[in-house]
Amino acid sequence: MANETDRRGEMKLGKDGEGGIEGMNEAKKEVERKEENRKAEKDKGNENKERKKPEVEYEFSYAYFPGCSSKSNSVEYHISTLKVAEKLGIELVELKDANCCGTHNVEDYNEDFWLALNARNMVLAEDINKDMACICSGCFLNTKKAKIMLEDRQRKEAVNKVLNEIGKNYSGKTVIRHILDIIVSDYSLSKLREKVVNELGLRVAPYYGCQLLRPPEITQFDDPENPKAFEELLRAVGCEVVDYPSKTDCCGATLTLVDGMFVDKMVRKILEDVRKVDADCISTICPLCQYALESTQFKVKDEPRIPVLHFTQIVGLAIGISPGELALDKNLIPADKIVKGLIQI
Amino acid sequence: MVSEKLKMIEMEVDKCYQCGTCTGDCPVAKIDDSFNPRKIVLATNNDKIMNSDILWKCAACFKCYRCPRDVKPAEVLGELRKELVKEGEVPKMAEAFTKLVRDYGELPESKLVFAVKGLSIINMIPFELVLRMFKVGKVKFWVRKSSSAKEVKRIFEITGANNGKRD
Repeated sequence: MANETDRRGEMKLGKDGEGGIEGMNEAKKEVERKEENRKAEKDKGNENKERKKPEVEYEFSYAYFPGCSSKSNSVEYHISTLKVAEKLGIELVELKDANCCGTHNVEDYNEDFWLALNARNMVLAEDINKDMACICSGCFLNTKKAKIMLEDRQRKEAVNKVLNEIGKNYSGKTVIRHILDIIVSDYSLSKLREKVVNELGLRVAPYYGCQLLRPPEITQFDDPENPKAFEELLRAVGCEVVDYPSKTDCCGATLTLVDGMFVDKMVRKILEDVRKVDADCISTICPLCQYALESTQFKVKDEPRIPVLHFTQIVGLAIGISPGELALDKNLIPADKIVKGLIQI
Repeated sequence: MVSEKLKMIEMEVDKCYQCGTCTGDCPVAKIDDSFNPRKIVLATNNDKIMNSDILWKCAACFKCYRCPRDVKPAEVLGELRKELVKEGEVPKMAEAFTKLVRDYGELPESKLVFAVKGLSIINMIPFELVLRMFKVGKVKFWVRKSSSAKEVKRIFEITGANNGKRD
């Protein structure tokens, strides 16, 4: 069962019961790798960055891959992520030239194309010598899966044959991260706690969904059966976290166009659970989940509707970013009540 | 003709002892009894591939990862779908998705909706939702290509040919 301990890592709570998550093996390894990257970067002098912003040296810097959904239907996730990162002093260098991760749709239609797509994105991150920060669980899983598949020498050679045609070469050194993990493990919750200026007074239902947690041998994130990272983060910014059984269930967003009935039924179950624990809002870490949870509420008649906030919007409100800057007006279900409840500390 | 990969899957599905943990955990199976991961694995073990429409009902949620025999049913289904695509059974969704990515570099969500559902989408989305999406600027009538589009198209041309697939 070595694998079991490996992938779950160890979860440690601080004595006050709200300590950060420590000892996640993978996270540690990634932090070490990051440290090395950072050193290498310093040695090289990173000319580009210095030319642009000579006065700021970022301790945390990533190649930012927002993905397609965060650029269209869930654009407020992209906007709020950038605002939060800026306020926390995390540099996100956007991969302007990135392509779609393809999801399992492209993977199953044409695996070689899908592999090359993801390898291409990773090359863009390699070019600026940074770990990749994904905010979409789908992009996160697909890129990471492709990376693992490309550890196979034959596959890597094949993909490079393709990429060489467009003047690129994949080396495989990019570490794939999710923004939640970056804030919790790299930035640290103790530092985040210091940044909190607003008391939210919210009962929040964290919704993990699927592809950040599963399959665990690929995602290597937290404990897939009983994850804690999201809860810890929400507590760090002053939220009351409610527990409910379907927080790691599927919202069915991937099946929207296969048969909408699946999404309706799956989301309805999640909403029922959230209502039972009397949450003020749901918080998500994936743009597709957020859209599914919001849009389906226009089909079910249950009132009042439950606002669904991207986790970066909640963090942003807590650390003093205005609702407008967090694009809260773009959420399909208005979050006015939540914003009104803000109390400055 | 069975591909190398499918042979490997057959070794995997052979480990299955039909406990049904995958199906018990599957959110799609709870709603639609035509989708049963345990039966799909069993059929594969008996050299039968289930119908494409059924295989594409998998939500890729990986709830079936709890398999005590580590068969990885979601992965098995993925390989079966790949096999069917090679045989020409291509669902509209995967084809439209891939071609839009090929042409735009990124996925234009609104175009995908129309490509798959056509005008029937009007019945699918409540008017209030459309109105709200319009108000917050989420209904787009035209989409710009991503700056990656040219390279992505080239990648498709090369890999498409390698896979021996029709375009």
